[in-house]
Amino acid sequence: MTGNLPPRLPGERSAHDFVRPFVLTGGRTRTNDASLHMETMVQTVDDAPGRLTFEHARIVDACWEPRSVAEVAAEMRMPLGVAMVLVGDLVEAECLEVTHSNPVELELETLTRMIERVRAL
Amino acid sequence: MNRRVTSVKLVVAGGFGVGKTTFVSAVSEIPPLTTEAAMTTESEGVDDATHVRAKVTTTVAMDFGRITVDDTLVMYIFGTPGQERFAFMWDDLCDGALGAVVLADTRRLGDSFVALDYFEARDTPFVVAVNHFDSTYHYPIPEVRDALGVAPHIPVIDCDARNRESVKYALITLLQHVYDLRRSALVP
Repeated sequence: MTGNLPPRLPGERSAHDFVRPFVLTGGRTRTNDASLHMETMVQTVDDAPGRLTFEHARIVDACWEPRSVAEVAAEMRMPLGVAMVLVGDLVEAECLEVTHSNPVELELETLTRMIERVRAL
Repeated sequence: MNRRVTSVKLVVAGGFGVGKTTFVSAVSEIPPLTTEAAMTTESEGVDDATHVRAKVTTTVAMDFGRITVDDTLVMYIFGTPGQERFAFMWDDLCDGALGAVVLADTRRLGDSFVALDYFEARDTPFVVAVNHFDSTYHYPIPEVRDALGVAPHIPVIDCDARNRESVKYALITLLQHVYDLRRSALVP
């Protein structure tokens, strides 16, 4: 059938170039770690176990400095849902460390710091 | 030894093309990043050949920026996807948000009603920032407030999303509003 397809212009994308996003997660669309949000901060632990898949290893390499799951997704150019699943795997495997934040517990003093920071921008 | 860094999420909401990404760019320390949420939806029609609803994969882009407060705290500002058909994304986006800025355009005030209703229903603290475009008539804030029908304690301010000082003022207004709400909850 391929022979019958119309010729493609250089740079033109066809449906055959499309990779289903959740191929990278083995079809899983939800992370096992329900506590992960797009703004959750993750960071690679010093003694992260080796032998990771390519995509997992890329994330571990990118997270030596703390960053949010949303930043991981943007930097890896993967959809947020995919990044969420892969980050969840790495947290489970103790390669990434999570710092959860709960806005309800945010102290007034922290809000004051935020206001001062924005004012100083 | 890893340092613990926590994050705070703020949301900028409003209709399509109201200036959310411009708003984020004005204060973000990095060029706004885009993350895509991939989703699979059932398409409207039924495929005649198979009588099975075809699934279609679409993506929603969300822009966000970052402000580092200090060694232990980072603020993220997320823009909501503008089109109403992506409203289902809002739960993921707004869960855990400290507060929201609703950007309004006086030419299309109705576009901000979805956001206002949403944050009111969820008890998410929000302020309204009326984004001014060069060509628009500047309605006085009391008139805009009446037209939006927001509660008297909710700040409604003028804003120019292209102007850093103006966007800073909008964020400070939101943070101060959250501060005041928390404080009055602590001191009955």
